[in-house]
Formats: sequence, C-alpha cells, structure tokens
Amino acid sequence: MHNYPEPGDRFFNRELSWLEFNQRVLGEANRQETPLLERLKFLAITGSNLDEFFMVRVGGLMMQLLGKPNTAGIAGLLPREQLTLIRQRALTMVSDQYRTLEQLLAKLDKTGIHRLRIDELNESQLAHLQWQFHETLIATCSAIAVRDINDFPSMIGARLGVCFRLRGEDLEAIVNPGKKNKSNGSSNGPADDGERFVVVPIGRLVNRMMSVPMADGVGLVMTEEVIAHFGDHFFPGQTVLEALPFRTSRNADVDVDVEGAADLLDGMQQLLQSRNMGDCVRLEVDDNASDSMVEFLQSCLEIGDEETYRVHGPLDLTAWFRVASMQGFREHKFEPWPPQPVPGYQTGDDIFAFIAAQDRVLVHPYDSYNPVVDLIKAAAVDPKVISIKQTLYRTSNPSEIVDALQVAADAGKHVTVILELKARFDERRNIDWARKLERSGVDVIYGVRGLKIHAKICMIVRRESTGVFRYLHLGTGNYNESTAKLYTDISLLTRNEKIGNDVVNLFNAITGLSVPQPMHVLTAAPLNLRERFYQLIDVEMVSASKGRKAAIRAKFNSLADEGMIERLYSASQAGVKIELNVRGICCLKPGVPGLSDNIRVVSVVDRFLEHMRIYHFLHGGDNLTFISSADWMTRNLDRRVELLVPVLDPACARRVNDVLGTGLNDNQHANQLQPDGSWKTISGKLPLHSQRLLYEQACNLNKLDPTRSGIALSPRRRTASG
Amino acid sequence: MNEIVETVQPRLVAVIDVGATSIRMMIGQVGADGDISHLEVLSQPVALGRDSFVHGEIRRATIEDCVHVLNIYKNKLSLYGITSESDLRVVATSAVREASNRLAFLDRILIATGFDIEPFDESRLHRVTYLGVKPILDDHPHFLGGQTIVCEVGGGSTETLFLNDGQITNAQTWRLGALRLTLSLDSVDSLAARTRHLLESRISPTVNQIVASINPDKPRQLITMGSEMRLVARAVLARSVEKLETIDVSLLSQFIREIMKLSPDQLVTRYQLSIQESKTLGPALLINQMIAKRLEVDQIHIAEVNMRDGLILEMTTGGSWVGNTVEQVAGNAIALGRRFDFDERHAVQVAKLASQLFRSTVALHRLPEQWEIVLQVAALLHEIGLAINERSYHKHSAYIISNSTLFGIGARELLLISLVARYHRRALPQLGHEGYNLLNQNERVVVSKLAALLRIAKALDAGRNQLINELKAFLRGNSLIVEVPGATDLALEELEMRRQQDLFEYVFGRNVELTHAVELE
Repeated sequence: MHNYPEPGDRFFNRELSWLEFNQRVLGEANRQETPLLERLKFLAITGSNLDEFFMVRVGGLMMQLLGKPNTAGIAGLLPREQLTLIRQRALTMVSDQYRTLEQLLAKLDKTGIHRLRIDELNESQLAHLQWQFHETLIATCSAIAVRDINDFPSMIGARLGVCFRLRGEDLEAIVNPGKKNKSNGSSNGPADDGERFVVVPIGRLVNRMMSVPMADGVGLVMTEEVIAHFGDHFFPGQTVLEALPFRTSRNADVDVDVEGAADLLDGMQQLLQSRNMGDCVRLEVDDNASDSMVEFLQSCLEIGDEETYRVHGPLDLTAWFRVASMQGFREHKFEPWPPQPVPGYQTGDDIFAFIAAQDRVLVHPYDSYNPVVDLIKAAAVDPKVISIKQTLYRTSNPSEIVDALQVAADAGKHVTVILELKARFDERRNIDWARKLERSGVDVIYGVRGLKIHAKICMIVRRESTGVFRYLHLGTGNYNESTAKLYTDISLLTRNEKIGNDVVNLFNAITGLSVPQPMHVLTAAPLNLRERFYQLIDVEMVSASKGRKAAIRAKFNSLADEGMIERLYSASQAGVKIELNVRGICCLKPGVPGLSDNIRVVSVVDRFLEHMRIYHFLHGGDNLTFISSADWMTRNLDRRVELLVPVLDPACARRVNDVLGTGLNDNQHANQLQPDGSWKTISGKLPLHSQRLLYEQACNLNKLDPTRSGIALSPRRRTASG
Repeated sequence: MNEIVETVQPRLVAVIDVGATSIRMMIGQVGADGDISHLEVLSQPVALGRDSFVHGEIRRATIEDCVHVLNIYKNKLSLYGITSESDLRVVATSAVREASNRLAFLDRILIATGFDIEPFDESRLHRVTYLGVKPILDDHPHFLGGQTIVCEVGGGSTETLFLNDGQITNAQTWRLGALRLTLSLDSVDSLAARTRHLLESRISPTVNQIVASINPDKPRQLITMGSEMRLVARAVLARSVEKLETIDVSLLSQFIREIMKLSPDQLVTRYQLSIQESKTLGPALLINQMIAKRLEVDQIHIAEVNMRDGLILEMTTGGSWVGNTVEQVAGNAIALGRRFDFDERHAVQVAKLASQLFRSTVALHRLPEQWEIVLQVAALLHEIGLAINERSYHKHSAYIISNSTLFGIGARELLLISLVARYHRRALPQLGHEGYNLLNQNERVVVSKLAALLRIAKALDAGRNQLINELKAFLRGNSLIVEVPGATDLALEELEMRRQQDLFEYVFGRNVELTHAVELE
C-alpha cells in the first residue's frame, strides 16, 4: 500500500521557497573566492529582492488576510500562518544579511573604501558634510509635521526617511509656514506633551551616500545619518530630542493582473477597488531605536511589531549597488567575460543569408546578442522585407531594437508591436517609446485583455526571388540589449516554414485578425500549453511503465503549479527519471520516498542570472527539446501568452541539450534541494562550474570559426540572398 | 547571344470563403514546381448562417460585420501585394445563396470592399471540393477501389461525393448542416441525452437518403472533411495531425459522448472554440458519426483539406479543369447517358472527335480551354433526348440536360451544355429560343461556335461505326481542312458533313473539307 504524504504535506510553501532562493543569492555574497565588490553586489541583490518580495508577495498575503483569510496556498497554509513563517524566516535572513555586510565592510575598509559613522568623522570631514547638507539636501528634502496618521507622507514603494522628535514652540509655523494651527483641543495626536514629530522623507533622486575626504581612499557616510545629524538645521529654535532613520515598504500599487500577486488576489477586485493598495507592509529601523519612536511610527503606519524589522546596520542594502559598481577596483570585480561573436557571422554580414543557411541557436550572454539586434536593424532597411511583427515586454532604454522598428515604419514597412504595459515598474518607460513608435506609424497593440503577452517572438516577412519567407527570432529572454549581457537566455533564429505558419497564426490571433487557428509545431499558452506538457509527461510515464527508458530534464525559473507538480510526482512514481534545474521557487518536494524518489532538483546561482527555459523529454529516443518563455507556474500556463518552441535542427538541439546538461551537472555554484526543503551544496571530484564552462565553450567555438582564422581571406561581396 | 534568364517569382494567391459561421481566408504561395504552401490562414466569426437560415435574410449589422472583416483581409492582401483579380477568389456558400437579400449583400460588399463575391452553387462546390481532396485520393490508391464516400458537414449543408472504383458517380448537397440543425433546436441549449435523441431524429432521414445509393455488397470507405472532424483527430490522437488521419468510429462515438456532457462554456475553454463553434461541434460530429454507422464502416478517415485548397488549385491552373476532373465529369455524363439508354459508343466517339477538333482549331475559335469540357459533355449527351421521342429529340436532350445534376458543372455551364446539344442539328440559334434568350452576347457566341464544332464531329461518325481514330484540322485558303489519315470509305461522313456545315460557315465564315490523303506541307 502506498504511504504518500497528505495533500498538505506534498508541497513546499511558495513564499518560503522564494526566501530560500534569496538565501542562496546571499550565499554567493559569502563566497570567499568571489571578488569583494561582486559579493557586495550579491548582497545588494538580496536586499532589492527582499524589498520586492515584501511589496508584492507579503502585500498580497496581507490583502488576502482581509479578503479571503481562509484560503490556503498549495502547501495548505492559511495567509496568517504564511505571514508568521515568512517573518520567522525573514528575521534570520536579515540578520545574515547584516552579518555579511559587516564582514564585507571590514574587507572594503582594507581596500580603501571606508564606511564611516558620523561619530567617526573628524572636524574637517564634518564641516565638509555640513556644507554638502546645505548645498544639496536642505533644498531637496522637506520636513513634514506629523500630528496623526493622516499627516504621514505617503512614501510609495520602499522609501527611506528620518523621523525627528522635537521640543519647542510654534513648530507648525516653522515646518508649514502659512498654515494655521489646527485646534488641538480634541487632538489625539501621537505626542501632545509639547513634543512634536516631524518626518523628512528622502527622495529617490538623493544619493544614498555622501563622500568625505580621506587620506587613504574613499570615505562614505550614509545620507540618512547626515540628515539625522544635521536635522536641527531644518528646525531653527527647536531641540531635536531624537532622530531615527527608518524605511517603509508599501504594498505595491498593483493591478489584479499584475504578476506576482495575481494568484493571491484572484477574485478580489472589489476589495482591491475599495482599499488603498499603499498600505505599509514593512517598517525597518535601526535596532537601537527607542521604543517610543518605533511605537509612533507603527501607529502612523497602522502596523505592529510583526511588520517591524530592527536591523543591525545601515538601512536599505540596495544602496550598495552604487559602491559595487564604482569605477576602477578591477581586482575586486569579476574578470570580464565579454559576449563572443557568433561563429560564421559578424555585424555587417547578410543576416538573412546566415539564418537561411541553417537554424541558429545563440546562448546568451556567452554568445553575443548582436545577431538579434542586427536582424531587426537589417529588416528595417531591407527593401525585400514586407513586415515586422514583434512582442516587446521589458526592453532597455535606449533600445536599438525600438529605434530599428521606428526606422522600418518610417520606411513604409508594416510594423506591428505587441506591447505589454503591465511589466511592473517599467510602465512609464514603455508608454514613452510606445507613443514614439505610434507617431512613426507602427501599429502598437497594447496587449490582450486579461492576458499578459510574455512570449518573445519577432517575425520578419521577406519576399525573396524564391518565395515569401518568415525569418523568426524566438527566445527565452526579453528584447533588452542590457539584460542580454547579464541574463542567461536562448535565442533561436530560423526560417522554418512550419514554425513560421504557427507564429503567423499566433500573431493573427493576438492582433485580432483571426480566431486562433490550430498550431502544428508550436504550443501556446493559454491555449493548450498545460495540456501539451501533461501529454509529454504522460508519454514518459507510459514508457517507464513498460520498462523503457524515460526521462525529463528541464531548466527554468520557478515551479509552483500544483497540477504540474502532481504530474511530475506521478511520473516519478512510474519510474521516470526527472532532473530539474530550478533557479527560484520550487514547491515540489524531491526525493521523498514513495512520492518523488526519482526527482532531483538543483539550483544554480552565479554571476549571470539564470533565466533560460529549456525542456527536454526522452520521448522514446526522439529527444524532444524545447525552449520556452514559460515557467511551470500557474500564471505562465493559464494567464499569459507563452510559447513552447521545439528545437528542430539536430545541431541546435544538441547545443541546447548540452547547455541543459551542463547546468544540471554544476558542482560549484549549484545547490540541491533536500526533501525537507533545505538546500545543500553539491560537490564533485571534478569541479564543474557551468557558467565558466559555457563561456569557455563559446570562446572555443569562436576560435574554431574558420572565417575568423585570420589566414583565410574572405572577401565581402554584396550577397545575393533572396 | 546574351541569354536573359528571368527568375519567376512564386505566385501568391488567396481565397476568401464567406461561410455560414465565419469568413475564412487562405493565402497560398505557388512554387515554381506548382507546389502550394499556405502562408496564412485567417478566420473571423460572422452570423450569416444564423440570419439566413432563421430570418431568411442577412441583417444590416451582419452585413457591416462582413464588411469589417473583409476590409481587414483586404489590408492583409495588400501587404502581400495580392491585388490582381486573377490571384484572388472570394466565394460565398449556402448562407449567402439562400438569403433573400443576397443581391443587396453582394452589392454592399462590392461597394465597401471592392470584392466581387462569387456565390457558389452546389456543382461548383462539388468541383472544388473534389479538387481539394484529389491529392489525397492520388496519394492513397486504396480509395480508388470500391466505394469511397467523401463527406463534408458544413454550417448550412452537407456535401457528399460518391466514388465508385475511383469514378465519381454522384455528388449531392443536402440541406443538413450543423448550424442549421442547432438553430432548429434553438430553445434547447444543452446537449443532454434528450437533445441528442432529438438531433438524431432530425439527422436520420437525410442520412438515409445519403446512403441510399450505396451498394451494400461492395466495400466502403468514408473520408470526412471539416474543422470539427480535425478537432476530433487532434484530441483523440493527441498530436499534430497529418493531411490524412484514420480513427475508429468507436473512438468518435466515445468522443461525442464525452463532449455532449460538457456545456458550451466548457467546450470553449477545453478546445479553444468560439461560442458558436461550441454549439455546432456536437451536431456536426453526430452527422458524421451517423453517416459512418449507416455505411457500416469501422474506421473513418479525416482529411485536412477543404474547399479553399481546391479553389487555390483551380486558380493555379488558370481556372481550367484539372487532371482527371475532366474524366470525372465525362464519366458522370456517361452515367447519365446510360440512364437514358444512349448510343454510348457513338456518343463517346463524337465527344472524342469534338475534343480533337476543338484543340486543332484554337486559332480559329479562340476559346479558352475551359470550354472544351462543355463541348465534350454536350457531345456525350446530345442524343439522350431520343429516350423521349425521335421527333425534335435535340430539344428533349436540351431539356433533360438542363434539369439534371452533373458533377462539377454549375447551373450556367449546364445551360450552355444543353444549348450546344440542342443546336447539334436542325435550326440555327435564334434569340427567340428558350434558354438562348437568357445568354449574353459572349455566351451566345460560345454556344454557336461549340455547336458548329459539334455538328462537324457528329458528321464524322455519321456511319456510327467509329472509323476515325484521329484527325488533324488546319486552315487553307478559305477552308478548314479536316484530314483523317488511314480512314477509308468515308462517303457517308462526307455527305453528312456537307449537310451539317451551315452553322460552321455561318459562325466562322469558312467551309469544311474532308481529306483522306496525307497532305504535303
């Protein structure tokens, strides 16, 4: 008889799993052999990640607590229970972060980068800061008297401020000249005993650190400490009793559709409409803060101790991004791994001929992203090109791709851009250049109602002498030239006719030109991607149950969909060997006897952000290999337009499979998920550092490229392709 | 000498099909080798069938919906540079054909979009359907033995082609369509068992008629077309489907049982259908299944082709009859002749000679090759009126032809055939003659020219002994010389030709001379 775990015990909680991912990033910050400034950057990433986690996920759970308090997640935990566990886990993580920061600061000190506290400064340094305070801060920061919660500044997102407790007369007239005193007869203001509270929010544009002259290197002082120290300059004639830097994180101002919290907020539209989304979800203060100040802030923010984090060190770890990316200090940064030119192609070559010759797979950021940009740029000016259609999700600014699309439209080509405006935090940027494209005559389509367009596709229709061909780029990453240097992604360049037909159908459906037509080689969400994955898993199950080889290998960002996990459990029980390389969230419990004995889950966290999605199914020896824009998350399978693209060319499929295998075999920057939810480092006799290996492979491919040997001269003629 | 090699750009063609539930467009590319590949397939739902079948006319709002869709398609066509009339066909089927305001509809579309929609009659539909399915028949020779039934259930009607040993013996359109059926049960929107019973009782009488002409002793195969059956193939086989798939009828039955338990909404989400499609899926499959059961076949073949494929094929061959479509039409005409106990050998011989004459006198008659089939069918059937009475039998022939159904021959072509047959003897065409007065000038010229050739061809088998195997015809001076090498004793034929060449002289201004000898050039 089977003795499977109960439903409530079959999954890891999604939030806790995400926190473990952040802990693995923190692990990189603690890695001794990693250059110092890179370690600092990893630490800043954990800070930035945690901010977003609080604003979106914790914020979502807090909303759920109000609207649907009895709805459990897939691990069976109610919102209240999840929030309690998250706090426990986050407290440990925060203390790890600050211990790490302390160690890194000590090392930075030796390199000549000194973080200084106010009380460590000499007189001339203090005078310098005072000058800077008057020059820059006093004009850009304003003080707001806070009598009750209604006065508290809104401070959207994650923001820093300094709270002052003052004693003195006529305070109102000082901070709000011209405004009459409110009647204080019935005021229940937080302090009514002659003491007043004033908040100085620190704007986003204010530098987080101020430098002071040092004999040996750079001295850095946190800006909030400077403001706290010179705060009495805001309030002449007042006595500053206490000054406390603090940081608030607000529930992100999100739509129900927006990624992240959509699963939590499903069906809560009314509640969302009636409530202010900007509720505070976290308050961070120094661990030396006085209880009275903390209580005042808590009452203004309508939160309690459960949302308050006392940290041992300067607030806001994202401040260290700037230090990590300071000019110079090369010995404390990673040795550069520049993207390698793609064999057989260099900018200026006929990109259409390059793709027409055979399908091409590019592995970014090891392989250069230039061919992708070049394709769109070439299409813009090529007289044979009839139309360009492409999705844009998060793009860089400025973007050569967007510029090329504009050039194409100016040249009279039919250009359609399917733009996703809901990419969080990028909306402003998107709207600006979308208007620019529209002015050039680009047909800009702002998504599909209810669905986020996450598939990354570009189709160029070109009429050549032998027929109409569709040149396609299908990728796992966004059309963003900046992140293409930092994220690992796969690009497929092809003019395969079958794929072209399906892409045409998909574009016609998205742009409302046609009802969706059946697809033949591609699979799209939300049409039938889930079913297709189920079928592919089922085929492996059948093979395994008949004693044949059956295996699934995949690499993606997150695994949180209940149906998909259950299917994988069934496959494991049928004897299918399953190896997953999951960067972030993984709710599947691997290696649990009777449940998931045959499933192994690893995670690679390294200098480049792992972002590619690759799926491989043995399929009776067919070795079906796919790339995709989709993770195995419910939102990808049900609520977004995603694509699963088979890599049909055998050479391309081999390369993609190699990349997949290399990641799964990493034993330097990989951790393996344990049945209890912990992650253990993997070690091996022969070290395998997957990102280094992939970089070296790209270099080797490039070296072997005969067109770059330097011996063979290759005259460049105008090619007659097309 | 400089040789200029011109690269022939592949031709882009498009077909728009204005159907009962949707307007579909297919853009195809014809390669140098004649291969056709699909570049785009678009489909937009419209309520033409609902309007036409329920209210008898197309509502104003629906007309404007059609204008909107067609304008979207027009933009797409201009993107590909498809602007020439010869590269585009826009056709409409039963929903438009049956609407009382079809002319207003066609005019409005022409004004608003520039598209001149061609309303398809049944025979045209049969012809292009056959053209569409023909490549599959050619690739799978087993369909050419025994009885093969090709069936497409549409929104407004069901179309059937019967092939007997590869020869089309019957082509019919039945007023039984998935949408028509659904609308007739409009008050019932769930497909529970009771509704299924109701549906079956409505479908059954037509299915009985459909299978009536089947020979129960000969093996039978059923090929089905249509998006609903392809959906079944995809769902049952759980993979992308090939041009031709085969499934067990039991699987189809099981699939129908399963989907009939689902609400339209469930069907929409499970199979990505439109609401309209979700309502017609069950009835369409049920019709197919009932035909399969009545034919007593265990398997059902599902072909991924449709009328649009046939239309594109027809366009790429310049609108002429393709391959053995001519044979199929001729075969069908012979089958009709046999029902009237005609002199088959004489008819076939006259048809053969008429064709040879047609081909060797192109310079004289200047008619496009598609008219050859009209001449041929008229030649095959010119005497069937003898079954009624020898007196004025040419008029009886014309009457029988114009009231028959011939595979692949549209109503207008049928009228022309009947007139060519009528004028194979006796009176020359006159405007007062019934039928002839319906023709425009071009058509009148065509009838006269073809009838003139038919008279000569008939004269050449005056002895009804099929002496002439082949002929050559060429112009010399003011005469058309018909040379029949090797033939002897053609006195009767020569005599008859002199009697029958009045129409020829009247139309072409030349006389005809028969010679036996080999002419030296």
